[in-house]
Amino acid sequence: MTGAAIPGLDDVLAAERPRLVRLCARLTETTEAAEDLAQETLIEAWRNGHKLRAPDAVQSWLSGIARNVCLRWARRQGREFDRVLVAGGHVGTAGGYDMTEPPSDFDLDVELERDELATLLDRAMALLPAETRAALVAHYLEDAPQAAVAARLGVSEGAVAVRLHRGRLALRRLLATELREHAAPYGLVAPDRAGWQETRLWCPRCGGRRLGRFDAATGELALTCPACFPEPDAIPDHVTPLETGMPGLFRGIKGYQAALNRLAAWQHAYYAPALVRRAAPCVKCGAQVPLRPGLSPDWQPPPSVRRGAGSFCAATAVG
Amino acid sequence: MTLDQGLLGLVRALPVGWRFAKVHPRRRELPEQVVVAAGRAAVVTSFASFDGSARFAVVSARDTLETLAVHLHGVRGE
Ligand SMILES: [Zn+2]
Ligand SMILES: [Zn+2]
Repeated sequence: MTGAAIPGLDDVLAAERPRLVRLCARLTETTEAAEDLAQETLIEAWRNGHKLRAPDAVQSWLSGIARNVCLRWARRQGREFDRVLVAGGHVGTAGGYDMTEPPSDFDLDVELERDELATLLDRAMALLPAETRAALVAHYLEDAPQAAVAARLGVSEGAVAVRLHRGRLALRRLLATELREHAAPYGLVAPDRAGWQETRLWCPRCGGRRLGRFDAATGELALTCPACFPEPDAIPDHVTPLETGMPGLFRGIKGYQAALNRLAAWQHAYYAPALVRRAAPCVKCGAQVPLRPGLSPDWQPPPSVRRGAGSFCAATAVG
Repeated sequence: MTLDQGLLGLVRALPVGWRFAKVHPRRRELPEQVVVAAGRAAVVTSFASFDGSARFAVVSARDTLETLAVHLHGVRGE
């Protein structure tokens, strides 16, 4: 019985309820259980209030609890199985585990990313002076032109421009200082000298956090892990438009998880038919070029691939 | 220009691989194993959740990389 550890926690929890109901509904893909699961989340949060280290991170803390509550629920529902699927050319659906649906940009992690990002920006905004905040909200969030913002706030357009400029600087400063720890995983903190940013993605080798470099405009995505790949040139995952032929592959994408989903969707769409036809369209001109699956004796895989993973296919694509 | 794609990447991009990654964002990618499956040379690519509660493996033909089988253990459905 330690819910009182954080002053005002009860109020915060009550205010979070609608968001948690929505989150649980998304997590379990059912609305029936969502109310109960949100309630269970709130009770657990209240019981564990003393474990909340950073009171200002209460929303992501609650999301984490909700995730666990929903996972336990899914287990109780018997949504576990242990089976072998033998694929006759393609893989079907088993145990409610949809094996055919290609990845989409809409998925829970991306939604959580967005949700938490919005929360973070809310917090950053709340730390700004009221008049700066009003200008930023009107201009950026409500898409009002500067003149309209000026009229609404009863100041000149020049004054609005100054406020917007100051507001942007102040936001950037907040995200790089007070909120740095929370902002880093969303790529909101200025990258280090080599351009790497901390991400929310886990390293599949050591389980630590991965570093990323992502530029939606150029279609480049790189992921590495400082623990597993200390040499700066050894980048285990690196995608550029040279390989995909798609400079616009990541258009409109903001987070790393969403970028990975988009990439997986592209890879699947490209390689699934290619493996069947033994040919893939050249990424430059579209002409079908033979796919050479299996070990290629003349191909030097990058260091990440060499580490135990010897199989790959190569489509020689000539422009 | 050559477009190369590791089997690991292919498996990751399979809908089932992607789903596994979604359910287990913190997972291990295990080294490939060469096996013989139904008389064919095959490669097993596997992933395990960090807590060890779930495993996922894809058996691919060594020569064509076509998916021969998918093994799921303790993987939650959605
Ligand atoms: Zn690592
Ligand atoms: Zn070409």
